[in-house]
Amino acid sequence: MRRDPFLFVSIVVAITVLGFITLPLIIVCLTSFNATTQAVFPPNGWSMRWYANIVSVGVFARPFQVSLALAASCVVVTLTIAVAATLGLTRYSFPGRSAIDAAIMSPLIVPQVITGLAVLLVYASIRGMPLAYLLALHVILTLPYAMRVLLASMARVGGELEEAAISLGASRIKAFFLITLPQIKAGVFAASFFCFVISFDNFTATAFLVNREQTLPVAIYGYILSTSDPTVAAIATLMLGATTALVLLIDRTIGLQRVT
Amino acid sequence: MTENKPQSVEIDQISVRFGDVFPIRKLSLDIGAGELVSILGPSGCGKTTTLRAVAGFNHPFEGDIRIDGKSVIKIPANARDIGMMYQSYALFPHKTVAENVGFGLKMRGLPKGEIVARVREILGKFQLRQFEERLPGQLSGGQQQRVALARALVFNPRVLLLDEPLAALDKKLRSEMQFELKRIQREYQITTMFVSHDQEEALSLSDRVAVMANGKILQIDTPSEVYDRPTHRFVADFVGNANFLTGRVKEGEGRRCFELENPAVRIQLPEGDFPLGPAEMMIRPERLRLGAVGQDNGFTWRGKLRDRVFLGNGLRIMVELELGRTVQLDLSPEQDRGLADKSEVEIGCLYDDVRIFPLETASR
Repeated sequence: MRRDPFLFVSIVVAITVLGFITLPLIIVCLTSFNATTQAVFPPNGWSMRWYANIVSVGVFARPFQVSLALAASCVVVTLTIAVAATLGLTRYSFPGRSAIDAAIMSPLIVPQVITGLAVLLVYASIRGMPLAYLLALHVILTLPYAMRVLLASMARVGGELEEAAISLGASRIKAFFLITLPQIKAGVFAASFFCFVISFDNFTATAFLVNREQTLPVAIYGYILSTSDPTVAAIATLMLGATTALVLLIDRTIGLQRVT
Repeated sequence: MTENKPQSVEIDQISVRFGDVFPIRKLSLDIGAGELVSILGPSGCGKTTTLRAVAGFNHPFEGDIRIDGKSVIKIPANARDIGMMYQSYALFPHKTVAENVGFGLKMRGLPKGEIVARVREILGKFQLRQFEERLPGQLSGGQQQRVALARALVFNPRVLLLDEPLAALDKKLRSEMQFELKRIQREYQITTMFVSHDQEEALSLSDRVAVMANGKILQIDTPSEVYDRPTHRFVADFVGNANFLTGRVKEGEGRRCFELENPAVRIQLPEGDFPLGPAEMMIRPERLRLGAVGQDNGFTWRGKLRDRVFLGNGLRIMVELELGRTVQLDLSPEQDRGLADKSEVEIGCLYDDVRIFPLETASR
């Protein structure tokens, strides 16, 4: 068989790019098992002490709970709004339709620093529950991602199935829940996953609103400002593992290609 | 079998508006109880809008729709009790055949046992019993269509609406389903309205055909009347093939006559009310015949055979007339013998087979 020089170059480029993407993750993983107090690579010895330290250092438990609760509530609120908005944007045409579409998509373009600052200014002038403002901020940030996924899956369904259900006697609401929603199930899963991940690890905008109650990324940042041990690498490894497990679970249950 | 008696549908002067567009204007159509009426027209003529107005999916800003004499215009689509079958069938992909067919019964809150029994009964009647646990995606096009029809009929709707019912099937299956649909419609004695852009589908299925263009119904009549005696040039052109020759209607000796221009050839018209002035003469290709006809009943033209197309069950030929026009003739296979290209032929036509359309209406 003849060697194709182009194929050879392609393989080298592919391996380089994949390495560029995955290598930092691998280094973080290895660093987390470091035996020394300095987060150095390569490690000088192996230990699980930094995983134990996540708990014993005591500053991550509460932020983890906050981030978890925040991401979970964000998924519920964002998906409710996104499904309703998608339905409105795809099923009806009305004046100002494209303006609403653009407004929902705008957080993708506006720098997160500005979005965070804007919500902070609103917060400062009205006051209220800080966590509610944080939730509002995360809904703003995740909505465009959820909308994009849902609009794409809704476009595949079309209005005819829903209409057929109505002609068979279903109310509009029943037709949606019994017929349309099952069709976009994969999209709803994918959107929930994106929203959860984006909310869970957002730092840039979240940092503006955090004071007494910290989220996990902000707590991590605060921790490495004063300490340089591999505890943070251990947290990162755990988060990486959880995310990978979630992606694998989705792939096994509904299939990744149906989601994206 | 339905215990309900068939119900009439009256569409009374309805107009529908989408923004600045009026897809239908002052449209009226009466459908007798148990009748099968089709609306035939090109895409964009408003036929689907009309169907959807009856179904309750769009809302006329004027006029009324009555079923069995009672207005349904204020009744929402899900309470109109109308069976609808879509061109795409719109089967629910995540539900089994049995769940699809039973959906209408479930929405009506029937007990589970009765739903199962009625679904089984209709699936048996449609030869679908063995597929009841399958998903629609696992069925052939013909089977999907029968499921869609069963789903629309199982709850004994007052009226059945079909949107291009045969369009998605291949040709062979289509002709089988034509008989099947007609048989089912008779058996259920259900008032049925369907829309189609396919003249063959409309002519073969319907008791009456309504030909529609630009939001108006031009002619409504039995398929043979629409075909043989179209009232508008558009109808003649849209339904079947037609030869059109322009000229003008003039006063003749006693009866009026049609005069072709350049060279002037006069054709006696039968008794009847033909407006004077510019007009078009229409003759169906299969109404023209080879050979002369007697002067009392018709007229004879001479011409040259120009081209021929084999149609399977016959032959279509193009004849260039001595008077400078070209016409199409449809011949049966026997008539084909001995016809050489460019041979001289005589073409005869009976007065009864000629239709005259004044040009004023033709241009509108």
